[in-house]
Amino acid sequence: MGVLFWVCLAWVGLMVLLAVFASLLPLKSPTFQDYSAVNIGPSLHHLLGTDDLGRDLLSRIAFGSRVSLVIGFASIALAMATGGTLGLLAGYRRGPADMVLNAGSFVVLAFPPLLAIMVIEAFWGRSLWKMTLMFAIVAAPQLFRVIRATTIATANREYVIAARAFGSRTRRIMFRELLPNVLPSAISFALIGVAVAIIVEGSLAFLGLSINLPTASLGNIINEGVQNNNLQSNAFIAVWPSLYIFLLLSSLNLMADRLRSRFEAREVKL
Amino acid sequence: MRLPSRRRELEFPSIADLEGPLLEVEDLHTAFHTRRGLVRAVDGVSFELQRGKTLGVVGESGSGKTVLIRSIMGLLPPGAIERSGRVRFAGRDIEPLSARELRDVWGTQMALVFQDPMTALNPVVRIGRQITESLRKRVGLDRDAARETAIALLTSVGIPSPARRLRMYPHELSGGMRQRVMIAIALACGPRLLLADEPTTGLDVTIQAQILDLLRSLQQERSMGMILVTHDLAVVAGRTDEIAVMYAGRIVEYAATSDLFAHTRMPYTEALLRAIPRLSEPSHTRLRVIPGRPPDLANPPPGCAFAPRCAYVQERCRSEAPPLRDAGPTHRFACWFPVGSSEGANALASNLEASLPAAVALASAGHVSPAPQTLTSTGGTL
Amino acid sequence: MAGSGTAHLRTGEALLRADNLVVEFGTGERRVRAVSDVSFDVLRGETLGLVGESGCGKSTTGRAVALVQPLKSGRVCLEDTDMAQIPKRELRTARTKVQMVFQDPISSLNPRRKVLDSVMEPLAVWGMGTKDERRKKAGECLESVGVDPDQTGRRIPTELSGGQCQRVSIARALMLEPKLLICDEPVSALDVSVQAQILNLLQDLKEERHLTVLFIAHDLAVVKNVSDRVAVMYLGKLCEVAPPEELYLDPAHPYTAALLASIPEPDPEVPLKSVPLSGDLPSPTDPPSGCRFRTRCPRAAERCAVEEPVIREVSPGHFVACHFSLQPSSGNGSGDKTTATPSPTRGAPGEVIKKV
Repeated sequence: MGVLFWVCLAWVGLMVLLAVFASLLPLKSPTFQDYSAVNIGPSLHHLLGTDDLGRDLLSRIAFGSRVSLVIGFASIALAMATGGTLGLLAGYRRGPADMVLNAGSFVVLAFPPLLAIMVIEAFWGRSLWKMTLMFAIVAAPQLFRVIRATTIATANREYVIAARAFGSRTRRIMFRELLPNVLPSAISFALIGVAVAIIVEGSLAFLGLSINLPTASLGNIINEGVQNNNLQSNAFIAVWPSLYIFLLLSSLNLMADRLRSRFEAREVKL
Repeated sequence: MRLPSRRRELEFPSIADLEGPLLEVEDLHTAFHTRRGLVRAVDGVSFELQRGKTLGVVGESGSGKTVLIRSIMGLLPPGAIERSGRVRFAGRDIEPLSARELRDVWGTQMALVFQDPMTALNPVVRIGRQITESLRKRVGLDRDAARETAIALLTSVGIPSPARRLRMYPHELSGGMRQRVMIAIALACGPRLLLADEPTTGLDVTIQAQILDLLRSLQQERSMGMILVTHDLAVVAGRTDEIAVMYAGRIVEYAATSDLFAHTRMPYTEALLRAIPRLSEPSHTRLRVIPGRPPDLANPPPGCAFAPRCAYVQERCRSEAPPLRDAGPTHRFACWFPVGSSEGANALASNLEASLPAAVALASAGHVSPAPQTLTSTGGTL
Repeated sequence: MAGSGTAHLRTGEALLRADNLVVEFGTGERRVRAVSDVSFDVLRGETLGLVGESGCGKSTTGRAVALVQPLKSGRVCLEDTDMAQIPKRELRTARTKVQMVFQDPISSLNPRRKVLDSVMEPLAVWGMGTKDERRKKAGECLESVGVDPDQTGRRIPTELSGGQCQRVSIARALMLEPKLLICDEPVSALDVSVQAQILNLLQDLKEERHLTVLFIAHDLAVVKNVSDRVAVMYLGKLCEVAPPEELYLDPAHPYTAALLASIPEPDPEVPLKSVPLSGDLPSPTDPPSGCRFRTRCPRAAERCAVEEPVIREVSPGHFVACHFSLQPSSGNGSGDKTTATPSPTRGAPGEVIKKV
């Protein structure tokens, strides 16, 4: 798998832990505006410095990453659970249900995701769980298609036919025979999905269309970082969150790629 | 029009001028570095092939026969490979040649027919182009001349409506047709030596017969040398002049075809012949199995590689690997206790008494070894 | 050829009876009738060998009989019970009586599961016994096929050889103690030396467990070795059904004769026969009218294009579907046989009606 894979996994894990335990760690408050410490660069008190309102950047990023990570991982997990299960079902059973689901996935996929989310949130509101749900709805058809395709290929394998022959029911076949063989390739696709979700959320936040302020979100922070001449006076405000997203996405992509090549290689040997 | 190439091309003597064998292989070794260790796929193979003759190379999976062919041609994948030994084609050493130089050999001197035509043919290129490509690049024909030649080739391999087929893709043809196309591509530039690696495995038996006959007749027409690699002894029985039986990377028996079947010496060959179900035998005949499995090439057992499965095995076999020795001018084998000798018969008898599974299996159903004959050994004896 | 008809079905205790099976794939123009009105029966304790080349529909027939391939029409009767008529729950139970062994040993097993677990799976599906009991039974089954449950049982299929995987497959198929075992080319992907081991193993297991076997293969010598009765298929239809000795000594159908003549004998003294069949298999989406074999048959005549032959008996126990079947060399059989010599209009031997 390579050293790099584990490094990336460790990095992602660390970031997740940081977000999860942000409130327990000895971080400064992300909203407290300390006017005596405005636009300070990285220093002992403020490890990443402060922004133009005196707020500690490290804690802003830590708390802000919560939104990105929750939306990123939770929405894909939800999409996998729904779209993935439907994909398994459609790919294995085929028939009319498959045709309907397939057509349905095309319909949903026809909407450009970013626009779709913007439209939905315009009249539905923007809370965290609502955003997660919207992202899940947009991502589910893609996962449906990927899993359906892999399932169709796997369902013709002889061990699946053997399972039918000794009386396995559909549900058992789906989860005991098909899923373990379909999941590896789906996981690498899902990781990419997480990366995309994070950046879509970041873009929306940058445009001011994500969770409302003052809840920090990485995109919000970047947005602040480019306004009011902040790029000249304190570039760190924009740079740190951008770097964070960059590293997180690179890690996710690399992990996805390694997983994919590892599981494909195994398939080829068969 | 072919551009004149700047580098000097390799010259080979013409067939008529050829003295000596068409192909000589001397102590060829090919080993791969894998995670499990060094895998000796080809472990000291030597033989000669005269022009116009057919050699059958028989072995099961893991015997090294495919690697042997690739190694002779120099077509091994790049990577951790150790190769040593000599390969001489038409009197000229070819194994030190680089890939660029070997390109002059492939196609025009030696050609390879693969096992699975579906993966050997490019699925997105039309048949016609696949044939004419080499004609235009290697022989230098222009487009029309190449097309004419391609049509003639397809006709000679027995494909009906050749002009129409030129425009087809591989998946539009049946398995037998694709194999014929592959043969046509192989023969396009008029090679002297044809290497056929399991050319009929996977084809229906009726098509198999057609393809094998085709190869034989083409070989005779063009007086090519041919090496036919297969796992099926029946395929080589009627269609080869000599046969080499491979096991665990080595040739364990080498003989003229009729000799191999009539006077088998190597117990592996004998066991293989007995394990094949025959049409002439009644139904429900108990097959004489060879117990066990082929050896792990990364970790071969000391001594003879076949010893763990041999019906004639004795202590010596497990510690010392037998060399190839002669049993006649064109019959070589590697065994301490060969079939048809008194040592062999005694070895088998003592193994039977000890109820060795391999011996029991061989002797089952009333089979007895042929009467012992004295070996005519010319040198290389114990 | 094109065997419709049921003259070859026997009265008596047939474990399996297939009546007028039709299986279709695809839709519209690309519709293929892989199995076209095929009937046969297998008596208890018998091994029926089903032989034919690629595209003849033998594998599809095997799957249809194993109840994993839906039929377009026709019926499958196990122990005199029509499988299409019984409720779903009973169908599921009936499945346990029929098990299959497949061609590709490694893909017959779930690549992500340990071999021992795969063998235990059939019992787990039916909730039979505790986990330990299942493991014990699986271990015994593996031993009976010559696989060490402790050493090899812990491995995954990609770590095993083809022969070992096939043994595991067989063990798994036997776990539910089936009455009928359908072997779909079980040894085609194996080396000769391993092939012999597996064939002997199947024979032993059949005797020990009183199995009935449907053995599907394209290798005639293998089929002869294992079968009590052999049926030859071509392009979705039955050509000939006979006991193996008779079929091989005295084939009545030109296709069988051609098939036998094409088989190379591992004996250099036997002279090579000239190629008896020319041309390629016709496309299954558009099979020839009348007798499907007529485009390659040296005996084809006008009648063959118009009328599909019906299976009839040419000698005791020997059935063929051909208008101009070959004369049996040993005496004349009973039954209505019109073995007229073919009229030499078209179809001089060797000249085939090309269908490209």
